[in-house]
Amino acid sequence: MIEVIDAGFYSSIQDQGRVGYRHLGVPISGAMDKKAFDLAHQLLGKTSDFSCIECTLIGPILRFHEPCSLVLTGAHMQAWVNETPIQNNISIAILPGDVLKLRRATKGLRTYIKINQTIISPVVLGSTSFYKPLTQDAVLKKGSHIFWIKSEKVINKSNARIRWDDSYLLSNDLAVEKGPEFNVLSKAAQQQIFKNDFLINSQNRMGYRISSSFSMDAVSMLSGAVRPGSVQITPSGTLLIAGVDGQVSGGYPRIFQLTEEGLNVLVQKKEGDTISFKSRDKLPQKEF
Amino acid sequence: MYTKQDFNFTTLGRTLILGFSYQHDDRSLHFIQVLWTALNKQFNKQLEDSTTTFNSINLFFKEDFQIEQIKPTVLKTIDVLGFKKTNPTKLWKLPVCTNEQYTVDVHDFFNGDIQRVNAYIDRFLSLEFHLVFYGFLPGFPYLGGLPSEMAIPRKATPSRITQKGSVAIGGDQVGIYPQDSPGGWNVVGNCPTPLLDFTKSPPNRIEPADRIQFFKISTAEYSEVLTAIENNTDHPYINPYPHD
Repeated sequence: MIEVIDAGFYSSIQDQGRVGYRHLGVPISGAMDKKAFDLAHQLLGKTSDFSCIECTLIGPILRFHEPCSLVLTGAHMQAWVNETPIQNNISIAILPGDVLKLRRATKGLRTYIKINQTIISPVVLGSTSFYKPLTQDAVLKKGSHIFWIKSEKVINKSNARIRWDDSYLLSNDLAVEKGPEFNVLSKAAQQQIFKNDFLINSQNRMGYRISSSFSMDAVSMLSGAVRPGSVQITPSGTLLIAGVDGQVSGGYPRIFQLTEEGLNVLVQKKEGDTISFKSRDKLPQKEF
Repeated sequence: MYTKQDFNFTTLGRTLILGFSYQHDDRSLHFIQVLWTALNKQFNKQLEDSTTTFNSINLFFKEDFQIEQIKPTVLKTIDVLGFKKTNPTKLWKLPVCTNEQYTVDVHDFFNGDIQRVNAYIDRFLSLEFHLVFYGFLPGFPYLGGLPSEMAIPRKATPSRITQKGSVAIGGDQVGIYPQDSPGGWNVVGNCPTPLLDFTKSPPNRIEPADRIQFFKISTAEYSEVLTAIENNTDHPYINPYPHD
């Protein structure tokens, strides 16, 4: 069992997401950084168990009441077990009474805590991912307890470090494809948007808001499909990039779609960081 | 009604968007539903999700795909679609309370002219809508069928909270808020009956292309329904049943 001593800034249980319910307006949710999530699962996961704890900006302080192994992936946070500093991407043996302390992110934004046990958390529409109001809570709360299914044996893997390229945490380049309404941008803007740097105004799991100078006439359009990484532009030039908790449909022109890799880069960026868009291909879009 | 020339293909990453022009008649809506079902079946194993909107069917593929390989299969599916126009959709009758506290937005829109407010609400209650799709929030239905002369533009500044159950108008679209939410649509009444139950499988009973009509209930009836929901007791308005 894990006791939440301090919940951190925004920590929640997330898994592979709520797949197959977009037609009811239900966002996919799940881990924002799929790359870090997959790595954690490769290092410690079981075949049927995907739940982990996603931490944002400032991680939680957790006391473990039973032994297990854990691994941290994604953003680098200041991290200790008891008083000993620990690193990402290494399996760490935890003994009863040990305290895992995560504090400020030093590189990236979102860190994943994965244990080698199956976390028990209510399943709604096939997923444990926190998403209010489908799930009761949006975030872990101080004093709450996270239980796991007790298996007969605790696997203590050796502290073998897995080679892993996390240079994407430092990248500012978002790989994009043109979206269906890319042409709402003026010809000049279509060139310029690949040259500018853009400042992230705010972000959460629903999405990122980025300001730009590309103001335009309001386009009246019916709501269309939006998926994580879809970039919409508002009449005032704000770029809205959908996150995994974002709405499944949106009414602003979709000028870009981030690639999976581009989305992983984005979700590790925080307010005040800058990003730029890089074309994944130079192919013209897209009316066949 | 549509033929395959009416569809165009675009992509949004791994999502294939099959676009068409929105036609608000029973047959067209039903045709899109039948096509959507057929495409889901056709690409079943390759899809993680699929949705519809007013003017698109959206297939969310699990992997990257080549549109040149998908397009012929989609066109073929349209060609061989066994669409029969006789298959009637269901009609659902939903309670709505139009007491003053739930119609502030319409009062504002008509500058407090009670006669025009009442005329608007009366006409609204006489209309038959179609569920086109769910989007925006979990269980938020987009309804089509509001005549263009009854359209009310979205608010310039969205309200901080639009109350759960609000039946609201955004342009010529109608929606029902499944939860409290910021919202820019103008509220015309409140429907106390939840349309979806996410603890059930499937969570929804009302499906795209089904028809919806609202009927007026009193404030007292409205309170009864809420009380019944709170106490988990039955009430005739809680579980609407379909009419043919």
